[in-house]
Amino acid sequence: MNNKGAILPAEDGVESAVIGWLKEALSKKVFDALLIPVEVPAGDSFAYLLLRNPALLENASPLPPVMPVQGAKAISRLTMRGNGSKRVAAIVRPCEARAAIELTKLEQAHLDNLWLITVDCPGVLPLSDYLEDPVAGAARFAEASQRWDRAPMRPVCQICHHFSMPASDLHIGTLGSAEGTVFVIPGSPKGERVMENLGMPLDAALDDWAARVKEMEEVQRERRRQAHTDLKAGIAGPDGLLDVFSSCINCHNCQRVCPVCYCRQCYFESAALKLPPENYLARAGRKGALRFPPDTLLFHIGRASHMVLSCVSCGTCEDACPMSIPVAQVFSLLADRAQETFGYVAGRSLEDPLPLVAYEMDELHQVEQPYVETYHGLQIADCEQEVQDA
Amino acid sequence: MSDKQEFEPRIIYILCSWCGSGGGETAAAHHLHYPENVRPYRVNCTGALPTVHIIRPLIEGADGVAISGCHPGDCHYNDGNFRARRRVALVKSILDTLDLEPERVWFRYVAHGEGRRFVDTATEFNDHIKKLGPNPLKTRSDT
Amino acid sequence: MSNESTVLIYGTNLGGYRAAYALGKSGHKFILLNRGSYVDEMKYQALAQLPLDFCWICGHMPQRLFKALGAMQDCYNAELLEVSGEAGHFHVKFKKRDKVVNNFACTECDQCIEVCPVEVDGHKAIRVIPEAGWENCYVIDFEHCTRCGKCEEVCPTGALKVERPEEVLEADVGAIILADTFEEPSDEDLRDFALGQSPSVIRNSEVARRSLLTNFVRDSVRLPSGKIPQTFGIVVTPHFNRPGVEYENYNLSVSAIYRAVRLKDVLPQADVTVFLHDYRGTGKGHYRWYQKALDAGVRVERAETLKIVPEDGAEQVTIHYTSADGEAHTHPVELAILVTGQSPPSQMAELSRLTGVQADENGFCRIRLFSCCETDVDGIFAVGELTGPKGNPETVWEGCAALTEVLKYLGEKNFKPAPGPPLRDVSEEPVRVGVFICRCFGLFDERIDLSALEERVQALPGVAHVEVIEGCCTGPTIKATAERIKESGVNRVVLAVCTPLQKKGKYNKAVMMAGLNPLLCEYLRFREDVIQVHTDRDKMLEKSLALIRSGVEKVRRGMAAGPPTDSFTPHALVVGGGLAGLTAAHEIATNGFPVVLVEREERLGGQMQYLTDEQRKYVEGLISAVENADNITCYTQAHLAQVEGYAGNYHVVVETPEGPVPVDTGVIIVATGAREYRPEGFLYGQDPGVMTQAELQAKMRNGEVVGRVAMIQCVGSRTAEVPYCSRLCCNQALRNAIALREQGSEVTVFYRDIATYGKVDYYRLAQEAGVKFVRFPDDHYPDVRRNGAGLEVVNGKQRVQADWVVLSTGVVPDAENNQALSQLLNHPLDYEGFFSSDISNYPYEEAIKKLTKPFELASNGIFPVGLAHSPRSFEETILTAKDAAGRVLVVIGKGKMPPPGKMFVADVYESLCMGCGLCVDVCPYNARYIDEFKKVARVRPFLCDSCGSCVAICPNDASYLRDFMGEQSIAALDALLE
Repeated sequence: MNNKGAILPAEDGVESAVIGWLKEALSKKVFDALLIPVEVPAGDSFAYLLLRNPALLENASPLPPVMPVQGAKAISRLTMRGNGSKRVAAIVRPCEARAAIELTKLEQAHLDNLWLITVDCPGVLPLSDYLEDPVAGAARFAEASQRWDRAPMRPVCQICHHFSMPASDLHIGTLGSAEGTVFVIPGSPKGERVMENLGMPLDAALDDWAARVKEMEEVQRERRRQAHTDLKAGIAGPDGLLDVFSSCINCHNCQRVCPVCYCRQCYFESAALKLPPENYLARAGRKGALRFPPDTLLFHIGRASHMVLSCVSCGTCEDACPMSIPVAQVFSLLADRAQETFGYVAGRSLEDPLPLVAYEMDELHQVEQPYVETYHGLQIADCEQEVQDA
Repeated sequence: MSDKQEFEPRIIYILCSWCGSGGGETAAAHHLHYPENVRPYRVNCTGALPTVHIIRPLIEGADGVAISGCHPGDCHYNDGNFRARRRVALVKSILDTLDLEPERVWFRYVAHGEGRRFVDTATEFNDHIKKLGPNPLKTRSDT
Repeated sequence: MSNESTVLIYGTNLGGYRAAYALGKSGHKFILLNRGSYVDEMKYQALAQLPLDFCWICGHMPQRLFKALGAMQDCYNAELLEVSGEAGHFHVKFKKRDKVVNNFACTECDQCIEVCPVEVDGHKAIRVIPEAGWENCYVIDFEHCTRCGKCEEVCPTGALKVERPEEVLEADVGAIILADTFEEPSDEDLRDFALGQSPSVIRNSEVARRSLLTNFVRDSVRLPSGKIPQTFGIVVTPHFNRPGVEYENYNLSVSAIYRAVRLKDVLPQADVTVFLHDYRGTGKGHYRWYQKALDAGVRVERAETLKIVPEDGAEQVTIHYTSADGEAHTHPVELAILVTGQSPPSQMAELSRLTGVQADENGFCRIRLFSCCETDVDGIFAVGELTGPKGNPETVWEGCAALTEVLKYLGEKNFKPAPGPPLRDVSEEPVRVGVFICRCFGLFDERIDLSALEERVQALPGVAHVEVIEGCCTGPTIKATAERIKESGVNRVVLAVCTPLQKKGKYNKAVMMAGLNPLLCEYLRFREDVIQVHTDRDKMLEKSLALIRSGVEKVRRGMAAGPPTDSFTPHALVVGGGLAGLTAAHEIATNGFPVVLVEREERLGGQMQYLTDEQRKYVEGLISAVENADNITCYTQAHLAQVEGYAGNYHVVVETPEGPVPVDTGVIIVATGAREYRPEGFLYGQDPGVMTQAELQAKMRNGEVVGRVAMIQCVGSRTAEVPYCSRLCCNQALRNAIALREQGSEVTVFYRDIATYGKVDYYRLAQEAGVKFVRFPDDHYPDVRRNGAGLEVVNGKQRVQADWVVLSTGVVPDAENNQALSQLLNHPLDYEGFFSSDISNYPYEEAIKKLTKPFELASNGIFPVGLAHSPRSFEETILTAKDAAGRVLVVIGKGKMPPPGKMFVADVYESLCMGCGLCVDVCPYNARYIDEFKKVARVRPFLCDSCGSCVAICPNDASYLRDFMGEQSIAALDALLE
């Protein structure tokens, strides 16, 4: 978007540079509050704090090693009922920013007075890995992210190709920057205003950053493609799919933690699916047996049909799954394909309408079953020929 | 092969109350026949059809789901069929990605006057599903 | 003595139907005289000359409704015998003979057809007319019928009588509307086009009919040999026919082009050529089709003369034509499709004799100047194609406009639908489902073992009662069924019957008579889904059981609710004080409803500089009528500052020089007009000899005249910038050209297509008057230069000297103002920047379906009229304004209004709703909004047409249709799979 940014000195590392910069913004009243991950006092997790006292920034981390709560959920909770009068900066991962954009389209967040600030993201560790030994986890994360090594990160992070600038207002570019510096990149007029207020002239060329991002994006895209191909081979068809989901215990944690699942009560927990015994007996009769609790596959496929168009592949669902089902990986695959069908990328821009709200009159003809009017059920072979010709 | 010949699919034919159903009425008025195993399910407009209602029968016992609403521009409510088309595309995309045979879902416009097209669709879809064979999900107890 | 309240409608064109509907809805009874023996035997324009193959069966619904409610007396085989009296107190005498089959008693069992011993051309002497796909139209071919009476004996409901007596009836009516139908030119009229002389020549209307008026299929162009032709010639016949034989409305060029595009869709390899003299798709929207045809590879040939010559025995004809340069060509095709015009009405002389109405010089019914439907006789009106060739939208508009003109002759309202029976509150009762299976007077028994079915249904979970009933669609059986339901004591009902769209009302009646809310009942299309479409008895039984099981599961979870109502502010707001706004304000106010008129300028009247003296006088009369009306408040130099609310309940703030004024209104009429295109180039503004048509008219009024005048058409029309034909310019230019010729000037008209339209053929008159016509190519406008001798128009190698060069400039929307108003009103602009009048997402000019759809509030109570809607002539501007006024009058007096679907509306579970607004975005009727305080979606009931878009978009069923909730659907689906 922008070809100019500013350079922020970061001799003591990215984290402290960003924290220092935010502190300044807070004390200069450019922002009234920050929504930022902060290490919990017990030191074994991170939580979003709505932070107004700059002194409390000490334990804050713009790039925590894990994502226990998807930041968009925090943003949604804060701004669901409208734009506040105070200016808040939310320091989130790119996937969290993208989910926030989806939620804004769904009226579950309001961004007029909220600045989305993102950082080039190396991924996060699987929550369970980290919890085993938070100190070692943090060190492992720091070390790997330094080298942009995604191997210890979550599987969806390993194949993430939207790790850099999404539609955030301000972005911290760590890729391609000179030793001891980072880029601050405005992504919207709103973001530019902040930089102006902070006295940060847009005078730094971003070519190096852009080139590095592009290069890494290509690598990631290829990884994603390869991973999806492998994944698809594993889950293909009813057998593969049911094997993957057979350990599901219907806890619906994946849905509960999903940032874009915004319903008060999930459809799959609603009265529509709570049926009298005869219904279950009849179904068990047809199938020979019926697994309980029922509707596992309907839940996953049905939920996909409700949210994959807004899915940002953030991986929170997989972190939350007590049965280690690769649900985020499956959904990232579904999301990519479904969004591609509509030329949509979740979280790309506030301007893109949600695919099921919009339509074109002249589109998607591939789903319309062609009709050969001479089909009378008799000359099937002939008709097939005609269909092929058509 | 002979097994498949014997196989009688269970087919849900989702129809809008206007054109899709109208096609059925015209077919009946002209005494056109189609297979008994095609069972109609009516919604007010295909634009009122949630995705779950396409997915549910495919898991619970249908071998195929066909959907017929008004032709483009004919929708009683202006644009329901365009919205339906997007939803069907979404469902088909999900089924396709999961290798769950998206060809078990058909979306074809049928107008009120098109009795022939209505029975052709029912018949042709039935033949098509017969050739595909039974939907493996319908006999899986672990869904 | 007060005036009569009933209206006689003679003929069944679309305008007549629309007028009937408007009258019925506003509380007046009407008598409909149909000259045919069944409902649409007399093809009206839309049926005979449908430019587009689309389904619009729903457009017919209102008729059924009014017959059922008792507002309509429809008479078949009718003939008007005598008219006496005067406006307000006509006495009419007419004869009628009922339909052979009374379709209100007919169950469509087809036994009459089965027993008929006479077979002609592969069908029986009694048969169903398939073309009238929407009602059970059984007719007897009396030429071959032996009057054996077998059909009558076998009819189970007595609906059929072979010999119906001819009856002569008399009635007192307040007004008469003549709405006689369209007449196609005969084969003889089309003899120059080889119609009837070769299998390779067919009418376009026949192609549409073979496509079942729905979807264009290849079979409809199949040749008798079975071959699908590969070369097509589509000929617009009135452009080449003898004068006076057929008249053209502007639809024809569009029809031809549209047919060509559809042919290319279906047969991409085919060679398709359209032959016309000029492309006359005037008005907004239509030019796009022309472009689309060219993009699709259709060849458009502009010919001077044309003739089709058959080839003996071959499925091929040759089109002989001359091009503009006079050169003769031949073009052989395998199929020639004739797009034909309209013949003058054959009934005209008879109607003149009976009623005193007069014909115009072309044989159509004459209408008073500046009226829409007033004939020369007070109290007698004429609508639709009877008064001349016109497009389908105009025909329909006339129907509603007629209401405004007719009402002043009518007495008090004399029709009010009876209130429904009281419904029982069953919310405290345990669910008891009753299944009632129709035996259709014996028809169903024969095809399926009903007692076995009954037994199996009895065993279904949740079924308290099963019973086989005789029928539920004739008066006595409806009553009997209601009794049976009541006696059984059930509180949920599944009726296994047949439910073509028209019978739903009957079933609702039966269950409501039994005290049950229809939301607790389900009607299965037993006949359509089982009886008539299958043969295997065992499988039919299985399927019946599955359908019933599904119905039972559905009604078990049903929830009763009454029809919600909302109030309607009986005031109208008109924005714009030009001709359209003045007309609408005047018509609404005259009928007793207060109107607020807001005008941007200092004075009313709009762009008077473009009007003729006569027109100006008319507008001045209107201005004084509006200014003197007690119930019209005018604010000049004012504009809308704020608009909140929705149809029926708008709260508007009008900014006036004296400050803001709040206005509450039920409807908003947008009559903000448009502007004349300001030309660029052609030396306009640089040379005093170059002017627009309007400027020319001003000069002519001052008596100025010159020897040589050149006119350039399409300046600022059909260009990249203004992608439509402005409709007015050709007529206006040619009128001026003829007037100039009368003064002795030489006139040359440079044109791309001459798109005149209407009853007066100005093109022919201009040619006869000696106006010279020079065509220029689409992409190359002539140059205008000044040289010593005067002005010079250069068109390729051709140079024409002129003293004046007159530019025919189009009408362009007032973009800035329209944009602002569009946002304020939340009402869309169309592709061209005008206000779109009905929610129409398809690229046709307001498809007929939308116009006939009886939902006045489909556009949320906002009615764009006049030039704000589209380029229109003076008369058409009046028409659009009166149409809007008519539609407003239908709803504005209602006070409290239920939704069009009564209790069948969408609703919201507040406890589940997150206020995400998806339903608001997809609702096509603006029937939803977010309650900002609670952050939940809400429904404006009478804007809701129960389409269910909101249901499908809502991820967690917080949105639901009251007659089919989420809880019902899954259970019903599962039950269907058994």
